[in-house]
Amino acid sequence: MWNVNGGDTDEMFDELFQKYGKVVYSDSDRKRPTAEADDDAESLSFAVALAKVANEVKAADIRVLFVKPLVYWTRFFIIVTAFSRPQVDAIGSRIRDIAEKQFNKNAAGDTKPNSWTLLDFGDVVVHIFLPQQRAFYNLEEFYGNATPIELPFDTQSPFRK
Amino acid sequence: MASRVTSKLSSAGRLLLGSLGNNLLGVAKSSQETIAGQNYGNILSQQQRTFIQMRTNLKVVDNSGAKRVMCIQALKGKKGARLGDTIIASVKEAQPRGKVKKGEVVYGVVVRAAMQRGRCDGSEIKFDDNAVVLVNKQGEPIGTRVFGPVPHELRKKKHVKILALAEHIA
Repeated sequence: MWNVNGGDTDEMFDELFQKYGKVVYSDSDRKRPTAEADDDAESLSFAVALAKVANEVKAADIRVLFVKPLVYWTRFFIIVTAFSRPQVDAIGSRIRDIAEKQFNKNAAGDTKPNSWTLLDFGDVVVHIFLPQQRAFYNLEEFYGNATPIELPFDTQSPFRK
Repeated sequence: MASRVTSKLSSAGRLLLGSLGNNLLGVAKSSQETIAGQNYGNILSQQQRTFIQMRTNLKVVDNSGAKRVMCIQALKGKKGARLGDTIIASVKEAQPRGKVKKGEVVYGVVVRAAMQRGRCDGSEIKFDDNAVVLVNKQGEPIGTRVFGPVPHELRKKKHVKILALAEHIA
């Protein structure tokens, strides 16, 4: 944007757009805001249910991030820390079971436990880290613009090392 | 280092836009649209891109420390690797303080390929360069960020970790 008379080009363009602009093509498959909010609410309840399951297995530092405005391929990220490989396994299998029974969703994810296990449920992606990997990959910093979702239980305190 | 995403439409003669929620043609980098039936005259002057095979040089687009690798084996496919496949490569050029050194044998996932890859809706996607992201044997990325656009095909191939670290998805 070039500088015009001190830099209020944005307002100038906005005015021009309002006066002369007209909608030529609108995305026909964009849902109405209420329908979109319903879908979001469903994914949100799914994400919160998974977070609750992770809490039962004593996973630490559970964060649910609403990333829909940033990435288009998913709606929510759940980031969880587990302290040992068997715990990663346990969290993974519990989450898979609950997702299948309650919500009928199947996970597309790797089955062998790695230091970063990922479960992809379409709208919701679950990341299970070991403590060093969490610091190494630092996904919270990468998605720092995403709004965190409040969880009904208090596990926001960082894990004790 | 602009990489151009071109999506070539199918030869059925109809305009099919990918219903992926992201318009391939609307990517910020310049993209060209060829409506089939009009530009077949220059098909002889277009290059025929092929698979990624042994001795192919690829660019590394994560911050693992390597800059260029040479493919030594494509893990799947008799003719070579395509977009989204894993390869074994040897590091030819690396940054001085990185996680990998020159001469190391590493696994990589192809994230950009000059050869077009068809999508399920009939459109095709191809890039200007061949690029790879280094992973370890378990499939976890060695670097922490991926630069440049990555295609959606990685999700189907279970490389969601690379998608999560990518800065732009085509």
